[in-house]
Amino acid sequence: MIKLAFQRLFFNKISSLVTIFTVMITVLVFLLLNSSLEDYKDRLTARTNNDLLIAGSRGSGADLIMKALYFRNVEQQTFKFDYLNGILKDAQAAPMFIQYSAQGFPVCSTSLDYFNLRSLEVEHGNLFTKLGDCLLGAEVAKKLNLTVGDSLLSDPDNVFDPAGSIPVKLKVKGILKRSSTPDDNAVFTSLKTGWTMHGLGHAHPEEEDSPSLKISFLEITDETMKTFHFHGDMEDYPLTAILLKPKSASSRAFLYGESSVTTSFAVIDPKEGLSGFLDMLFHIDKLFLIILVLIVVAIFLLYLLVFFLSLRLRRQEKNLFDRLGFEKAFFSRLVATEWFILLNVGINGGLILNIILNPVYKEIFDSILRG
Amino acid sequence: MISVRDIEFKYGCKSNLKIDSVDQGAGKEVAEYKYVKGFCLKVSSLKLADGKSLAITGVSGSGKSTFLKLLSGELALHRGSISILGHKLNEMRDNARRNFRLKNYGMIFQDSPLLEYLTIKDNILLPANIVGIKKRLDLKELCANCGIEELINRYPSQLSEGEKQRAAICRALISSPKVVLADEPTSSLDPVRGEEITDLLIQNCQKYNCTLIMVTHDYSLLDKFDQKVDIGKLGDSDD
Repeated sequence: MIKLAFQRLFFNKISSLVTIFTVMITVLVFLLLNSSLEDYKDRLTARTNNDLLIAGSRGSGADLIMKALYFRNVEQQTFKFDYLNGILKDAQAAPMFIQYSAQGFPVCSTSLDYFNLRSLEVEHGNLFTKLGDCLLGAEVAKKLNLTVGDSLLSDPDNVFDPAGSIPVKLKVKGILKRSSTPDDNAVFTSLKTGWTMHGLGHAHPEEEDSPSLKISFLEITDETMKTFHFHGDMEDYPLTAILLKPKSASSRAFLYGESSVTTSFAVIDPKEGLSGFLDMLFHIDKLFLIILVLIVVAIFLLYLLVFFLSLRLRRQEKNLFDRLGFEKAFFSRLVATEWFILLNVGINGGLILNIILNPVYKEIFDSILRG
Repeated sequence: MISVRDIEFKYGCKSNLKIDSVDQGAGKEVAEYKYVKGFCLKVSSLKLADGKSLAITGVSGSGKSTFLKLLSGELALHRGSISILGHKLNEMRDNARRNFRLKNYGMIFQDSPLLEYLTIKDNILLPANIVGIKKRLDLKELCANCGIEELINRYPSQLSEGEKQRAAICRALISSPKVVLADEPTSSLDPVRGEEITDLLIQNCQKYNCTLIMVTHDYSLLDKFDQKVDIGKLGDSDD
């Protein structure tokens, strides 16, 4: 019976392969979509599953969280650095300035407290110590093929604006241990380096031979440090967010209370800030599953149609078995065996393809999420 | 020995078919019936000794193929008895008739259906390979006898109608059955090929001692058979 089923499937190679591929693709799409959504939900919630708070300009809480937690490329109003001073007595704080990117990866300019609050460890090299130093997330180092001692340029803010910020050459001082969080895909610098990218600090070349000679990027060296300086009051320099770990429950309550009476500054709990978004995501998830199940049911009904049409086309074959004296259910069992083989190969092929393609798909999905 | 006695098979034969209920007034309803004439095959008596050949003729629609299906057990009798090799077909259930057919009969059909996805060799060995029916004859010798020894690794689509019919004969004979039933095996062939196939069938049945019953329209072939009957004259056959 199995040999006969295989003989028929081999003879009708094209239709067998088309059926197998259809089943494979159905299984693959179902698994990939389902796993990516699950993965996205897990990663989104994992980043909020701690006691850290986020402080930032009052506005869209979701935007602040997307910027400060996931380094997403969303517009977020900055606030003055001196806000930090009012917070430090109640919480361990890591100020963050996130506005620029380096070779496509977001640059998070922060203090060393950030790595402590996020429990990030350095795998190679050291933390940044000087202006122009940077620390790479594991994925950034891997994708850009950079190691300690290499350098990379920050991306210009606006290449057509001569008055805008100029790229800064960042020296790789260390590479973080993989944490499977958005930190893997970020470049970390000191706040001063970030503000330098913003154009708040600069050096004067000793000799400007020609007024037409433009500096294409800024490299912080012992030479440039001689003339390097910041303009204006540093207390007024911009921050995007502050990552906070309240010292106690009363400090937490105080921080919340303080933020509720100011109109320009807010302290939010990422879990609460994202709850609406997560609720929506869970609803989308359910809707998504319903749609997937409906698609699978529709495909199943199509298969059923093909199955019954094939039975009609194979009536002569059934008659032959009946007339020769094969038992009544022989033909049905033969057809069932063929479908069992096709579905088995298709489903297992889909599972294997899922194992092979899932990392590639996740990579694509990640790059889409990173914006 | 094949023995047929007083058999009757009919379909669409309902002498009183209720077509409507007519209100006769005062709450009385009288059923109205219509006589419908269908097909009835009746054979009062037929006997055929083992190893002999029988040709069944008759006009179209006279029930030749139906009679063959009754002999093979594909159709169940409504009345009468068919005794083959000491077994009464009319007393067997469908599964038993199928099993009996598979083990004791070689079947050849009008349109020589072979499975398109099997080679000629696998088609011939189909009952032997799939349900373990014993292959009693040598495949090469049988195929050589039927003139298709060079074609056994081809697929049916690569063969002519005559060659396919030869393959069907090999499939029918490979298990050396006691009875071979052939339903107009030459109908799709030209007269020369038709005679060739009939000769081949008769010769091989004689060689392997099979009883052959063949339905044919071709009256020029009748002399080749030990017995011939006109189905219309075997009983009261109504159309």
